[in-house]
Amino acid sequence: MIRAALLLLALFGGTAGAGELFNERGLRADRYRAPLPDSVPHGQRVDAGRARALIAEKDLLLIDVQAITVRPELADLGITFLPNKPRLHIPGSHWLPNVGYGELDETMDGYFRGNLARLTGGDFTRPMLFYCVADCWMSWNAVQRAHHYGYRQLYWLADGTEAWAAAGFELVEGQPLPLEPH
Amino acid sequence: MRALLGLLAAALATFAGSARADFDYQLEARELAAGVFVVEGSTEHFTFENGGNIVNIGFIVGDDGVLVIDTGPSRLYGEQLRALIERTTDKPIVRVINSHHHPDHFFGNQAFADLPIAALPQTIAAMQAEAGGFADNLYRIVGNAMFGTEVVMPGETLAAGDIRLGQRRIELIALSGHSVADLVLLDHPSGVLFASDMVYYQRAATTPHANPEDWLQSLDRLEGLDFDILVPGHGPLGDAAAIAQTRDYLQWLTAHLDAAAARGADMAELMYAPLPERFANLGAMPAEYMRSVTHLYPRYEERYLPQAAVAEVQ
Repeated sequence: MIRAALLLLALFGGTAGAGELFNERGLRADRYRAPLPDSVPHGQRVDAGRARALIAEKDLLLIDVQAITVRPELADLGITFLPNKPRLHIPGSHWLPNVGYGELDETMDGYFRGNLARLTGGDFTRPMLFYCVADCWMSWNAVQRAHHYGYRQLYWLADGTEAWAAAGFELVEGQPLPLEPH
Repeated sequence: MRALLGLLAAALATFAGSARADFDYQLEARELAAGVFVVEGSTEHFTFENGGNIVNIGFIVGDDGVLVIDTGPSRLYGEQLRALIERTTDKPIVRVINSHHHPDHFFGNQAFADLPIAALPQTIAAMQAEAGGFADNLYRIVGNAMFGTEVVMPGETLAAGDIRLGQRRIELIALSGHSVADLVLLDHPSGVLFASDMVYYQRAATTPHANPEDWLQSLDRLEGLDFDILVPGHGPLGDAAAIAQTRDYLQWLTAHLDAAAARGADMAELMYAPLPERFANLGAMPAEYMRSVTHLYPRYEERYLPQAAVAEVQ
């Protein structure tokens, strides 16, 4: 209830003058760090404990979508993502930065779609968990985008690595999957 | 019993979902005069470690209620401030005032959303225009101490003049120059002046929305006020010396930028210029000076650019 009220505030209060918060596909398109809603379309919100149980029960793909600086102009040199500090994430995760923005260009869309296809071997029923950090809407977007690609067992760890750490679970340093030059 | 279990479950759910919701600002209230309190922040820039607590917050306890002056940089700060006030006095909070539109002064409003929150009209307009960008920046710099922070705008507008808090006469003085509108409060019974970000003390002034000429004129008005203790927006308690220090820095900064523009210095060179000794050890230096160069120097360059361009053509 409180979260719903906050969401309303997010929608109607204090954001005039900024870009539109949601685009025509219903994805978050501005202010990517803000309090989160209780649920995500086409996915199931889970807490850290449930996420860990799912990892044990299922062959769950863990997708970290935490954003970092991208330098597509350096792709020919093999340097595409430039983390400015180490990213600690859930062990076994695949880090696909920046795929949770409201709009993706062709390169980033291909990066996300292609990596999911590779990681699932084309199995659209493969369960996946998306996350980033606390109050981060990019994982909320990523779940819906994965559904649009055709994936059907989607989980959302809202508050991401902070929720995981707050539950006392281990984090390890991650590396972003490279953005291949086209 | 069932209700109790429900409550417990709700509490646990909140806890499980709470990432760094435990960030403790360790706020303390210091009583400057009977019923007049300050909650002092650090003189640093925003950092992950300080959770954005770089600001001085005030509250004044009147006969029948409490007036809160600014609310801090985040929801968690606001909640901890409210708890601190409620521990300090049994009088209810009756009103919250935001001195100006910078996020460290009003992002705690969320914790006071059930109470009247007021600001100058130009302040509210500036908040509406800029709050989203401020939130993005603070999440980036401060990180998860921002957890759960949503902007709550003031619902009431203020005008300059006297207000009453029970028997207390509190004078609201509308100035500008640090931002588009800067509200200063003078509590007449105690002589405490809440100078907001009109005055920085032992801490470099910030200038992202500054108009230095207006700011200096506003300092003239502050110097004409009859007060005993000055609470700057940032830095330790002071007196007229705090106003003088802010003035000295702004005068030096503007003259320095003007002279640099006149000789055609480039911005990168200027950013690494050595600071006069009296400013070099202010809090947040030299970073704040470098930021000011980026904010202000283009305006000074423009003053000289047309002549330079003309001279080049001739």
